[in-house]
Amino acid sequence: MSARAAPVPRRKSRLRAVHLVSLTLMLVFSVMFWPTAVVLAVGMLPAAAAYVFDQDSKRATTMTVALMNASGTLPFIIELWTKGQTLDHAMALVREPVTWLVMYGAAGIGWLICFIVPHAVQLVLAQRTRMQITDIENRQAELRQVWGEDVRQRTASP
Amino acid sequence: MSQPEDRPKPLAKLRDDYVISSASLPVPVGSRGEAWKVFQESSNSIPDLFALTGTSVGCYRIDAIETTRKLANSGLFAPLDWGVVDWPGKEQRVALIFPKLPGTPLAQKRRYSDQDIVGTILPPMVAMLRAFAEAGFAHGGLGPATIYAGSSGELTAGECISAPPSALQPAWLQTIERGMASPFGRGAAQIEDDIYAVGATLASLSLGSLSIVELPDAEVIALKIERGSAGAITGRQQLSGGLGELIRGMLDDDPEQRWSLHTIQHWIAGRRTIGHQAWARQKPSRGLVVNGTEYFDVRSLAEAFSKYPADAMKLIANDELIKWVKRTLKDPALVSRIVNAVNMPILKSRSSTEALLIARITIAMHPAGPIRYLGLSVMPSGIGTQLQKAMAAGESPQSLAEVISCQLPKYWFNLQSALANDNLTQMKKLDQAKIYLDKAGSGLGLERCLYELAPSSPLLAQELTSKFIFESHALLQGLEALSERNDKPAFPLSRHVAAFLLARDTQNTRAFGRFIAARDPAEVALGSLHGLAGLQTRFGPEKLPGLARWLEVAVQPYIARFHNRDTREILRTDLQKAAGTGNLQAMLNLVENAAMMHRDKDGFFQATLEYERLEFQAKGLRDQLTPGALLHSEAGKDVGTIVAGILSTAIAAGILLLQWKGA
Repeated sequence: MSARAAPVPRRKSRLRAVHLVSLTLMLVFSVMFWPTAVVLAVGMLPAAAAYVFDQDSKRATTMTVALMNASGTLPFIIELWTKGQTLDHAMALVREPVTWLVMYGAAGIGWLICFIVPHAVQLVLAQRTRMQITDIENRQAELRQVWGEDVRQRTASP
Repeated sequence: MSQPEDRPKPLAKLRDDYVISSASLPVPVGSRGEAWKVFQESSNSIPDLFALTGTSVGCYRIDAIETTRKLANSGLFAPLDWGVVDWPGKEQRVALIFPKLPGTPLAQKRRYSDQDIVGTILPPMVAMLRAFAEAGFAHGGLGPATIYAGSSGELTAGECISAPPSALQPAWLQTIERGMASPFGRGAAQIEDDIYAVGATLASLSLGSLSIVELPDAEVIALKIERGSAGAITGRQQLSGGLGELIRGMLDDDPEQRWSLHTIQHWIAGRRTIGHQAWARQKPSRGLVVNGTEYFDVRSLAEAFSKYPADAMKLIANDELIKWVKRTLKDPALVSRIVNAVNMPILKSRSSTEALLIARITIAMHPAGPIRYLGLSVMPSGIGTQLQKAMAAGESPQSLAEVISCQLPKYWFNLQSALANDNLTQMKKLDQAKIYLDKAGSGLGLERCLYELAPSSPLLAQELTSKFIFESHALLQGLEALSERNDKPAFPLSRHVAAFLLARDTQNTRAFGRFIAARDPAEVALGSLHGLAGLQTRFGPEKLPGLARWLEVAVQPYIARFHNRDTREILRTDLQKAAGTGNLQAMLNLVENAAMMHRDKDGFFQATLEYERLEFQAKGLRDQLTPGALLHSEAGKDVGTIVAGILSTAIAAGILLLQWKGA
């Protein structure tokens, strides 16, 4: 028991170290690219919210929302970098409602994907299962036809 | 001989040779059925042949025909040929072809002198009886009207095939015991019975007319019991000294005291010193009253008990019978037998208990007499012919079945002072009959008892009454003819036919083993096919298309036992083809294919396993479809992430491309 229990704290501590490194890098990045950090901080808020609400261990919802959110934020980061990375430019972008609409709209699409795709996948897989059941039933019907109803004797309820 | 121009209209033909004409003749005394003139196709002139014909109700001694033919040179009038003929009216009859009657009956001459009797009648008669005894045969119907004297004085005993032994013989020519039995229940005759009949015949020839001849059978028996047979037959007439001794010896009522052929030959040879004085039993001082009549002899009392069972029960219940036997007859053995009969446990209903008790007591009182049960009076060896007569005439055979099932014959045999070999064989047969009777399966029961106990009985199946079938191989032709009829039964082998085959065709018994035990119609059908195919293989004919089609339908339940639809269809098609050829063995080979049956069973087992496995799979899949199940939610989320990844990558790539182009 003890031998198996040992890796868990080590993994937690490694995760904590990764988090620490990430935060440090983000802090360094924020300091180095202050205007970009401002746009990202405002634009990536839906992803942060998803991270908070997503209880799933794999954080699939967070990933989906974050990816779409990032794709919505990316044009403005590029614009900031191409026009000159200053706080004024960053603030100008942040003040534009279109910026908000695009960045948060993209995140919204991410949320839509989270809601729609699993259902669609479920529908497809359910249909596939139904087809499998139909195949089985057809085979059973064939067996009954060839061997008679007695072929059910092992499965028939007493 | 008559000329061919005189030939009357033909009625039937036997073996394409003997033509039975429509000219009827008087039936000879001692024969049964109808008599017709016969002419031969191969002969230009009509020989003086005649035929005796009869229906299935007749009980012919078919099993004795060969013996009588062998004895034809020893003075027995035997048939030239016999067989079953098609009779007008779509029925069949048994036909026995005889030559011209061998003279005139002895009875036609009113009286014979002692010299005639001793010199010309007795020696050939004894020679004839000697030949009978050596052949293990007894006539069972001898008498002054059935013994013929030829033109040169030779004697011939009349035919004895058309009726069971003693069935047509008047009571005065029979021993007391056989006379008490019903005509068809007298059973096999012994040579001692023929000696007795010849003794009575000689008395009749010597004295001319006998008053006993005119009396009813019951009175003849009562008179014989009262006076002894010799006294009853001669009446008040006196026989001459020497002949009287011979006749009294031949008519002795004690079979052990009755003169044997050896004794008679000694007497003929002139050694008449071995005199015999038949003595009448001393009449007891007091009799026993049954139904207002006082009886002094246990033999007549036994007869009265069977006629008046209520009175008999009273005498048994208040011990009057035992007291009378003890005090009056003073016969300890008889008392012991009666006491044992009274005390034997009987496990039946009240009415049959009384009948059974009376039957046992009457056997105990008169062990040599017939078995008397519920109005029946039958010798154990006559049960078969009595059963045959009852079943052929449509009478109820219930009482006979009870006689067998209550083992009355066994009780009768146990009380006999000596058992002949014939009796031992008969006892075994009757024991076996009880076993058959206790089993209800097809091929068993009372029908089997009939064919085992009456070896000369034709098949008495209702559906084949118009046919006369004596041998198992003739059955196939009968069934083939029946198969053409619209009213044929659903199954070719009725209980009668099955029992007949099992009793007559002993080679088939093994093949029918399955059939006997079967409860399942499919097994019965296969057993039938087995039996009939065996018969066809051994006796032919090669083609029996009607019967084959009938059996094809009958074996469908067996084919339905194959699980595989395709196998069944193939089998049905092949069977139909085989039935078309009329070859039953080919049909049997198809149906009884062990390898095919094994394959089918194996395939069916595999199919059940596969079905079970599929059922489990389907259940698992159905469970996934239930509304509460979390079906593929994780997979859905992952797919969502992938979609988002692809989409965002595409967007990013597009933006970068636009930027690069703009730059």
